[in-house]
Amino acid sequence: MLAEFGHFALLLIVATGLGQAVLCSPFWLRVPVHASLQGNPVLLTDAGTITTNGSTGGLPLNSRAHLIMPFGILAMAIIAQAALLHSFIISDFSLPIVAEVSHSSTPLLFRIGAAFTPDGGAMVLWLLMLSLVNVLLTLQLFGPAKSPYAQEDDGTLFKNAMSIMGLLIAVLGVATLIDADPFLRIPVAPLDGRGMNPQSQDILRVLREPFLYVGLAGLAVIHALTLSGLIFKKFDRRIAETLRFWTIASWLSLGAAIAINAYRSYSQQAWGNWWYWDTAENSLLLPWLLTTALLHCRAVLEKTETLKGWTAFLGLSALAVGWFGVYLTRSDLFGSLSETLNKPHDSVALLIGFCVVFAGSYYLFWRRGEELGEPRSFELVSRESSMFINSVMLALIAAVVLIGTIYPLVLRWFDGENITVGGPFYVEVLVPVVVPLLFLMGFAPTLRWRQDEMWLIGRRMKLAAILSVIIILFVSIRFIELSPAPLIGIGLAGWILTASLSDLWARLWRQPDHGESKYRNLQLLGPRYLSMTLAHIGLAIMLAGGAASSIWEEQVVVSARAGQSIQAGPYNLQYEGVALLAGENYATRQATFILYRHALPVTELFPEIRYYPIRGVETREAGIWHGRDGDLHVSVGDRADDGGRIVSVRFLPMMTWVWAGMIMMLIGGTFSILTRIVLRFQKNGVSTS
Amino acid sequence: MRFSLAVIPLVLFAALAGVFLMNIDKDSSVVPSVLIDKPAPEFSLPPLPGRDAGLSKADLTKGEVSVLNVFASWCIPCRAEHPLIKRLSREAGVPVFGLNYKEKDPQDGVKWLAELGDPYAAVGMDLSGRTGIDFGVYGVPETFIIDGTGQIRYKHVGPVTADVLEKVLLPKIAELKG
Repeated sequence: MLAEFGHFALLLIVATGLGQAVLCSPFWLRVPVHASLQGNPVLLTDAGTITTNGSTGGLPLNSRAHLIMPFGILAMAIIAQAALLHSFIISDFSLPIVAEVSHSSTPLLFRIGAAFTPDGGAMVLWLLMLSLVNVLLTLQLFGPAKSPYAQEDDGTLFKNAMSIMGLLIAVLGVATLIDADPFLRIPVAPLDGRGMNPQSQDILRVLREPFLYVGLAGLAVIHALTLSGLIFKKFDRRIAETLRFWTIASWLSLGAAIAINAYRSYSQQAWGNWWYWDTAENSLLLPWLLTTALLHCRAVLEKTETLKGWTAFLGLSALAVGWFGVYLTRSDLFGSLSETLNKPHDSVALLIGFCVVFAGSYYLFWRRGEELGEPRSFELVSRESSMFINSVMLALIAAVVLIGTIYPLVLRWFDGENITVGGPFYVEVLVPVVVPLLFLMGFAPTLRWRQDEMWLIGRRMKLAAILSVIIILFVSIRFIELSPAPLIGIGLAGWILTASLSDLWARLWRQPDHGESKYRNLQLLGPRYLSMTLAHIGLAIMLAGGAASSIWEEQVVVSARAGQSIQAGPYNLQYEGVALLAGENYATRQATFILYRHALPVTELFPEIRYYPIRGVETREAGIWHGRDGDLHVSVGDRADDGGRIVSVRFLPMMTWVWAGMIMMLIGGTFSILTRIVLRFQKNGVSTS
Repeated sequence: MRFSLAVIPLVLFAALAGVFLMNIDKDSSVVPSVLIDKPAPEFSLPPLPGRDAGLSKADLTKGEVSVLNVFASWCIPCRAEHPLIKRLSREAGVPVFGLNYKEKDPQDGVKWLAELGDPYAAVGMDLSGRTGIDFGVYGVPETFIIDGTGQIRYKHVGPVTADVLEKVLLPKIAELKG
């Protein structure tokens, strides 16, 4: 019965979303928008009626009634999500969605996790996250710690953004109901479900989903604010400042989703590598790339009010590629991606909604884009231009990834040919873009706004340049047979690292003003600079780790017998044999290895082959040790012909750096957000007291 | 100049959206099974106890469209769909074969058919479930439409409902019969 409540709540989300769209929109309420567009002040009387140079119209815009809508939507979304989770927890197989991806033997944690994997469940989660950010946006704009800009023009622009949010929620709600209604029942319930996809029965895989959909929901806010700015031709500093939180939040959660996904691929022997260029990964990467580009352009917009058109384009496109990515992984266009075994239809409504929303968005961009105006210009050598070039390169990378993702599909439609685009394609095409991008990344943060001089840059970067040349020379002399690509990677990582650190150093030790201590320099750096530096250094570390592990990787595949020891790098693994154990809903052949480093025992590793009888599928879990000089990755396979067990051991030097770098980037983003929130509330406290 | 730059996203988007919208139907006839448009697996199954004819691949390749319904006496949805299988066998004008899947006792299938009626032209007994695995059966009931050359042309997973019967199975059979 609860599922029916959930169903009804889903319908109400659509209705309330439309309500928010109508109530918050000045267009629907026939407020004299044109007057406000022409720059005439919209006056507000105490009684709540609007006077615009004598003309009146519409409902009172200062009425707070519409601000209740987001909370209503959130309540409905929580009910829908709770109803769905309840159905999964009690294994209500009269819901086909439960029967398809769950089973009575699935452990509770994964019954909950399974609720997010099928299309309908993922949509409900997306809607929940959308309604959550919708409420946060309302609080940001009109809440107690509201943005100081929200009162200008009676907040018309921001209310309009909320209207667009309402519309997006309604569109996605309708798409959920049409494509993959999770609350439909079948008359005859099967005795049991088909079980969760064993590949998804993993805590990391389950954790990825909330991050992904929070990120996508944040992109929806960015889209709404951008579009609203375009509508009112006011894409200016106040939009940029409002966007700041949302850009970083989306960047952070999409980044977290990517990191989790990478680690998951890595710890599953079937994949082994941490990046695979498959559609699911690319559709995470695409919005992240554009959000990264937006992150930089937004700062330029806030600081100098330039790059308006380009920033607006990125703001719209980040959600576009995010949504499109969801559609691509969802619609099963590539075969076996989807979680569900038997699909009645593609996500047609999701596609049509996508087309309608973005046809409208890009049409508006076309009509309004050239009217945004660029009041100021900047020189070719300046912080602005470096940020612009950087974001263009990121967009180019995104374009390559997008083409690589859909090209096989389009080819299949037109030629009937089946091809796959794999790693080599991306590496070949992306290297010419990524190398200059990373080079730029080294010195761009030191550039001055508006105008800078080449010779000044040269002077500032002298030390970093020398150091990175030394690194390249050292590595190439020490390891002569090195191929150029990873060497370039290591060199660039060294360049970014030394450049970031020398800039930090210069800023810390510059001469402070009279009467101030050197400690003042640290304060002057500010959270923005620190989080940026942290993220850049994180990327450099990740790059170095990725390049180094690809060069110096050692792999040993042997047919091992109990007691045998296997050498890999500085490690020595002793194989102890395989035990047959029972997992909660699987049987596992768990191998035991004792790991020695220079003859001293370090730890025990337990790679597994799990067999899930419900789906009759085997999965493999690797045993991983993160040592200080690299990862040891061991996985077991079937029995070999000679009676031994096939064991694959990989020693990946500096692989730990990849994970550490990812975590540093995420910490940088988190730091930025936290300081932002703290500052906002502090500022607000000061202004009200 | 600016005019033309701002229109680029719209044009690119329209091209992309156009390609995907045009192809909505192409892949949506999809493939609930990897076996679609592939020949049915080779099999030869014994009859139910007390009957003469079992079921084998030869029955499916007689140049006539046929239906293969996977059922089991322990399967409650099979019981629910059974009247519709009877209707299918009456209305479709093609032989409907039964694959009695993984019974504990061979007599169970016989009793079940005696109780509910037997719409099948022939029934093969798959006690081990081996043939079911070859057919990619992952849940009973399942219903396959097979053309005269023994190619699997359609597969329905789960109980056949009146809707599925009228809107999917019967038209599909009529289409294949030509």
